[in-house]
Amino acid sequence: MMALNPMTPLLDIQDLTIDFRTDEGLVRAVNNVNLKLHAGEVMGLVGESGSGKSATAKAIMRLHPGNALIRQPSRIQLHNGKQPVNVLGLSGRNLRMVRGGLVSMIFQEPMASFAPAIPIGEQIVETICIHLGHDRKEARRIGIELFERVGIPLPEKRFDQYVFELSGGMRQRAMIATALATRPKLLIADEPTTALDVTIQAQVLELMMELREQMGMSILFITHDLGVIGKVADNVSVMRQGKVVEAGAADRVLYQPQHSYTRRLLDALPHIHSLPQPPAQTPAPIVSIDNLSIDYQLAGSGRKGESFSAVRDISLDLPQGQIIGLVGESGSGKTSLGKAILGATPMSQGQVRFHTEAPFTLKAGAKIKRRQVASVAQMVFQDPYSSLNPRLTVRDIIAEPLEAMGLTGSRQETDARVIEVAKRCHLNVDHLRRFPHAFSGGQRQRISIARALICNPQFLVADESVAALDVSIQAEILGLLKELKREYGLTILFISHDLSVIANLCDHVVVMKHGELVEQGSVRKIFTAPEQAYTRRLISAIPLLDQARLDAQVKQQVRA
Amino acid sequence: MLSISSIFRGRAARQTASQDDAYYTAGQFALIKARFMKKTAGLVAGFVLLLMLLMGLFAPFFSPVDPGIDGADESYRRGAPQAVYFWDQNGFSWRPFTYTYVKDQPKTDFAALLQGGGGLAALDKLTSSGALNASSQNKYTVHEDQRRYLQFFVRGWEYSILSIDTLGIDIRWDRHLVGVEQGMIHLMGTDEDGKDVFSRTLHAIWVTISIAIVALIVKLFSSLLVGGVSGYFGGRVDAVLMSITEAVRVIPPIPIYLACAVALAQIDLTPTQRYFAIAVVIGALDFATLGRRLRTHILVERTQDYVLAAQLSGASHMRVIWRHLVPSFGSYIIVDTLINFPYVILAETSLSFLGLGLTEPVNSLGVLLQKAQDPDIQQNMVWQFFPVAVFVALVMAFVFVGDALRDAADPYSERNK
Repeated sequence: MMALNPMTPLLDIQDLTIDFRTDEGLVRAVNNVNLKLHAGEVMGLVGESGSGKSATAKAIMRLHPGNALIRQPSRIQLHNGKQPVNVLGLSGRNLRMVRGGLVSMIFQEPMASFAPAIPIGEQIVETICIHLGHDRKEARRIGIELFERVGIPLPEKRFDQYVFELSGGMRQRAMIATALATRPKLLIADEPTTALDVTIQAQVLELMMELREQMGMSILFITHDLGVIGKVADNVSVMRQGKVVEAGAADRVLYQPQHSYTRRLLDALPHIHSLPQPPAQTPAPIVSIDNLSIDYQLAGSGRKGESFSAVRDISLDLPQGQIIGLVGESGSGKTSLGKAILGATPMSQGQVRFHTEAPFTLKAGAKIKRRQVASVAQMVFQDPYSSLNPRLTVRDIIAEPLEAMGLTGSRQETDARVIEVAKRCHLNVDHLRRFPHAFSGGQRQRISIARALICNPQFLVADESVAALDVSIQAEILGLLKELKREYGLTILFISHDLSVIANLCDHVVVMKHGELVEQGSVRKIFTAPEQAYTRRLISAIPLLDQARLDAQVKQQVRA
Repeated sequence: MLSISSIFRGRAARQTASQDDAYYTAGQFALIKARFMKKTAGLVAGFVLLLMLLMGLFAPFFSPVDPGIDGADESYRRGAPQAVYFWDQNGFSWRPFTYTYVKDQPKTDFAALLQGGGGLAALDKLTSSGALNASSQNKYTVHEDQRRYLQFFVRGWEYSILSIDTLGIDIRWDRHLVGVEQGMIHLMGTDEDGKDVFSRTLHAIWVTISIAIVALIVKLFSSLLVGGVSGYFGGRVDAVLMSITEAVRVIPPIPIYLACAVALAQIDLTPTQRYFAIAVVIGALDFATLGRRLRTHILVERTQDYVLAAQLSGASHMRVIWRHLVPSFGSYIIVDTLINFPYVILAETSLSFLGLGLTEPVNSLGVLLQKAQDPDIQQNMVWQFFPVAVFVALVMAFVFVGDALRDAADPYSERNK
């Protein structure tokens, strides 16, 4: 690596201002942002969606979309070892040498970042040939070496596979290998671990830190997760609405936050040591699951027997009035289980008993009594966009269960119920005539919850219901769920892969792996004294801030 | 405190609501309209289309002359278009006027032919003089001193504005937008029978469009049935229905039309009824493309969470299909239908060309277009190309409106913005 004056930053962003042309006029996405990144340093860029962090990162590689206007006197200076270049003034060949040569980027969704019809190795070979000028044979050798280095087992074999043949973690590793192929000085990582399971996330983070040590590169790490930042970053910049609201050394920002927004982000992290004591007696179950199995017929196989077992022989009691967290990595069968309880996925074995006022049982193979289920159990979905019919008004969406089942006598009665439920979910009742497109993700999720609540169910299944939301919005929705539990005695099965959300919300936790139940217990027990090795691995993989220092900080605040 | 009625039915509140609110409460069609209004080409085409449709629908009112054989102007056969003026060398007039056009009688001296004792020499002389040529029959004299002033809302032949046979309703009227005091006005000339080309064209527009509407409605119904059932239920139902669709798709349409024409010839039908029957057959057999597209659309849409949400809300199959799924492709169907209009009109014209569709004396664009292929018309009566211009304008208008509407439709496609 070229010696660089330690005082000269590798990346120097000065007064970066970006406007976007939209139908509603100009929108300022990035407002006068200044960032300095030195060689070998990891800078965490934190913010929620729309904060301008991705727009900033893309501007460094000039990847911003065509409707973006970069305002004067913005400068993005990159030091390539000889003299600084202003990226914003580059074009053609010089720009291509910056992209992929000096700066590389890895993205959130590795699946979408690789061409699906070209073997992965081929895509890396192409990069190496262009930037380093090796022949194909040599490039292939380097590529396989890189695969080995990022910890992909059987690198020779994987090199010729297609992206869909690799698991999520492997894809992200391959992505990193591609990014590193040209030995960049700066790696921009845009939410590189957000789509990954927590154990895979830990591995990928560790890998990135290792590679940074070995190759001496700088990393601009974009994320919304302060826990991850605490693990990797030297310096942190917190962005909000296009502006940097707080910047400084990671230790200072995380443990002595100045800005209220940073504090709010920190509050969203789990506080494992202050988990509540479980109640002395577990309440009676409202739903009992007996020996439930779910098999999916594999696509394209007409014959019996070729099936995939998503859930295997699970028996579970869901205690009334509690929020039960259902945790597992992707593919563990947690969503299948949640849907099967509501009769939305056919069971192949077992039964689900509802201990409601009028008890009933869903049996495998029997016809589902949809209306019976609908009046006591409802679902809140993950995606607040696809779960609301865009062609109905909010009033109609919320009223749908009442109207579909003909539960109310008149329109006035329905309207009154809708208003009541909307208020309960803190929706503005003046906005009920609006269509979903007028609402943000968080508000949409409130609408979804209101729809679920309108026929006074006793049981809710919330499937990753906050996964698509920003941290601060997440906190609001979690608050609402807690409130509903407290005030109306609602039982909620909360499905999530995000352990910090589970820790903040749930009373009881169920851990699943590969369709089987691993462990269950109170949230305190699972997080502080897990019995199974798998649970321990999950818990230890959560990126957390140093609890002792956080506690000290709280004490300090109390004293002050 | 908000009363329920003020929230849901507050028309007054709606008027005072801010512009933002208007956007947020805008339904699907309001949003499509808002976007459509931004497209100049679409707007212009829409205006032209609307104008033509109106003129077609109320053709008897807009036509100065009865297009049938009853209204044929025997004294002005093969007559050229008559121009309308406001002024000439005789002075200015606020009221537009035209002249008296008098057809020149061919100066065929049959007496001379007889007097000469007949014989081939005399006949030869007559034919070589050009008096019998088609072009010489088009000659006319304009009497500029005999102005014919245009009258508006004149009484003319009686026609029915609205007639529903089954209900016994038949509202008749005899007013027309324009006319002249004496004789007739032929804005676009006349054909060889003396029928007014302008009036025929206006009447043809609606005949053609109504046939297209019948064909498209039948097509839509069969597509919805096949595509909807196939997409919603999937699995084996889907496999069987799609196999049938593919089988129908590979049969070329022309032999089917031929077979239909022969079969229908056995039944005693008026030409128009016969053609409507063919339109029904065309529509019924043309479900393959749209049906397949709808199926794909539903296959995608039914996996959306909101459909599951509706099912979990206790909604029945029919409610899910009609309240949630059908509106999701409503805009698509409208756009597809509009874009398909010109193709159906083209099908009508090409069938007429093959002699399977409508034939003289029915007024349809296909019939008039077929007529325009006659060399006699091409050489001597170019004004009979007027229906061609109208046809091109109509098809273009449909294409432009359809295009603009397709771009404007489904504003929710950008739902993640």
